[in-house]
Amino acid sequence: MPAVFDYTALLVALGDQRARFDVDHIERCDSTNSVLLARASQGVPSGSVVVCDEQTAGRGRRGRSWRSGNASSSLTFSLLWRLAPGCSSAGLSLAVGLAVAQALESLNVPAVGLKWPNDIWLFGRKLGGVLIEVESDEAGLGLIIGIGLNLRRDAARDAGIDQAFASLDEALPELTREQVLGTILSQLALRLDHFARAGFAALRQDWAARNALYGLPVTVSSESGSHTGRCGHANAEGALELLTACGARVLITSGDLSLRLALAEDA
Amino acid sequence: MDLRKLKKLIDLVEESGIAELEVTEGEEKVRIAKHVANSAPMSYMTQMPAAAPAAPVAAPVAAAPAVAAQPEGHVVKSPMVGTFYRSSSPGAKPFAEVGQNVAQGETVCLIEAMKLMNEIEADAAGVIKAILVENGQPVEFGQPLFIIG
Repeated sequence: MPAVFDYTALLVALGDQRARFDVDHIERCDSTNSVLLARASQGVPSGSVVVCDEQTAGRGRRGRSWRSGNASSSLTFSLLWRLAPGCSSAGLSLAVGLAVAQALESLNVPAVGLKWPNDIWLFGRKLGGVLIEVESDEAGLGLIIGIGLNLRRDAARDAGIDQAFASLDEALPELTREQVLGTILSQLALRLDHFARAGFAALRQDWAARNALYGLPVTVSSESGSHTGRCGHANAEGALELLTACGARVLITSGDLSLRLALAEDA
Repeated sequence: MDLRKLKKLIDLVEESGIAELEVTEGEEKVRIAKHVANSAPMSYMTQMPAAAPAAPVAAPVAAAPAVAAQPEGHVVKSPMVGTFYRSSSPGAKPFAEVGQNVAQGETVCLIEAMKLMNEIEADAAGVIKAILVENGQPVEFGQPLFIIG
């Protein structure tokens, strides 16, 4: 049976930002980013959203899969947002993660953290992820912002996840996905406005306050090698500072950050 | 800062995916930025004094190898710092191959930075003559990526 999507609850949660969004709920798709990318090329406006009950081929970074459950266990959506020409996308990815964290905090979810660049953590475990695809043309930057969050435990979905993860009902048992979606979208509008005016530099302190791995030994790995050091803060462009054992400050712009458990080797 | 340490730092940058490294020691400051000027498999560094009124730093250590001959044509440059990918996901068909005709505005690669996947479009039409960067390698702002003839 298809899940009911409560547009009224969504509008309430969107509050005074409601006029900026056009939300389309669909039952099933391969990936909400792919659906929205196709619609964007047909000219749908900024603020268009696709939210999906069941995503069959969700994507993470570099083709990794993102496991979604059903309408009750997962919130999966993509937002099209356009930035005027001249806007830099530096740090944008972190600004989006920050907006999600602040939205959850406004719902009284405690202990929300961010793992660079924009994984959402709850109680030290991954709650959700963000993947952004950017197209630029003479009209500016077109962003397809894809967000996936675990709402509730789901045996079928959870069996396929290979890392420690959290679900939102651990902190917020009475949540509804419409409320969570509306609150996140509304916060995204505010943060992205701020970002467009002042860049990531203006949001940097707020991001730093939620930097889940700050000061901890981490490894950053990418196709071209890996690095170890202590996790620092993000700079004004969103690059992560890594403090290596020899005292060097390395700026990371790409790669996977993971907590290094062998603390002894850092001594 | 002694030369051995400097060499070690340069090696660190070279072996890694990082684009730039800045080290401050007391009043000394050294910044090492990675440049890849052609398709030679080895990337080499230049090292610049920092903007700060810093102590003098040693002369560049790594010498540039002879520049390989490149076909002539329009050079598509990287608009940003990030990681260069030739396809939308591992195993997928590359956006562009050598010998392929591309239209202006056609996506030729992705550059990823901080989970932002930026589609890079050809800014001229023609045939891809050369692809100057290996899949998965870090790229700098302004670095040549493709030659279109």
